[in-house]
Amino acid sequence: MSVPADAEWERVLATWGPALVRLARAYTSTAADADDLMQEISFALWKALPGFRHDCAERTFVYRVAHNRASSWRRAHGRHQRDEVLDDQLVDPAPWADDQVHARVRADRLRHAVSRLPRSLQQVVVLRLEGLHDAEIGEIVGITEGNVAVRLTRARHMLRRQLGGDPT
Amino acid sequence: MMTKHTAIADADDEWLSLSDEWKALPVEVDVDALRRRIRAQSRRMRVMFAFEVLVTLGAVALLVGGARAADTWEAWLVIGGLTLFSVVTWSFNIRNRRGTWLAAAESLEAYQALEVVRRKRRLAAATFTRRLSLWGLVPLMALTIVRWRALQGSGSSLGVVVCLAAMAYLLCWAVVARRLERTL
Repeated sequence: MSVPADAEWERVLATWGPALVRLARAYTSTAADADDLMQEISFALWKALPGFRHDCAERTFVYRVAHNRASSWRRAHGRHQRDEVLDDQLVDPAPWADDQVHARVRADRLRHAVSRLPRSLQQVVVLRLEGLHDAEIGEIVGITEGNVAVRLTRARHMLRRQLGGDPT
Repeated sequence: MMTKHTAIADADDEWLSLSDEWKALPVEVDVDALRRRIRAQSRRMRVMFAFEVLVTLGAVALLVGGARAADTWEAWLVIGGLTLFSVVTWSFNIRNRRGTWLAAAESLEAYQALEVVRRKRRLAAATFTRRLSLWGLVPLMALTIVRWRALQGSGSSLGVVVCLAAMAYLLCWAVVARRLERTL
């Protein structure tokens, strides 16, 4: 296996790190699991980067690797973890000003709502929330663009129902 | 009446709004948890190292005993092969573990770097183990079984059974290492 320049790998992680952390947290139920998964994703990228031929956008490549690794991780660790409460990630609003508190509470509610979606919807929703287009999502998840649109519509209705009580 | 374009625009706006909220999620790492995990890994590494030292000492004792009992070229071939194996394995282990015992500093970046280095080295160790088992040790064990009488000079088949068990163990190890290579 050829080893990529660590600098390139570090650049990719620096660029996409925050997004990958959010993705890892969406696929897991505790902060510790999310850290584990994030580490696996980082390493998977290190292994996969030498094979990147730039035949797609770097963003698509990074998310595809992350999505594949997160899916395998979830298969290995089971769905039951979804039922655990994310106590270690719940919001402690004390240190922030009001607007920051509201933003953080909304974000946390959204994360909970996303975590309660069926897996097939959750995958496309997380990618959409990260700003990817339908075609890119389809390429990453391995479904057609039309299928992505259908899933996103269904997911949006479910999210709206779950977030319906949001006073904002 | 809402047109199709309006509906699509509304959906896009809704996703954009949700996306902004989503990206407001904090992405900091729990340094204490990471530190605890690093230390637990270090403890396991030390236990594993001690176990490997004991196994090597046991193998050396067996080699010395075997060298005293037999004086045929096959015996010296097997003993030489196992000695070579020990030297190669230890050379690899020492080199592969360099820089994995401690973080360079008590910082988040250093802990994360150490975790990744350890994972890289585990992958290297898995590849090394698989290749050495399949291309070095299993053939050596097979030779030992074939030439057992010449090695021992007696009719005992206990050594053959031990070698077969060792071969099975090594093959299992090779399979485990291969799986580890794929999952790491």
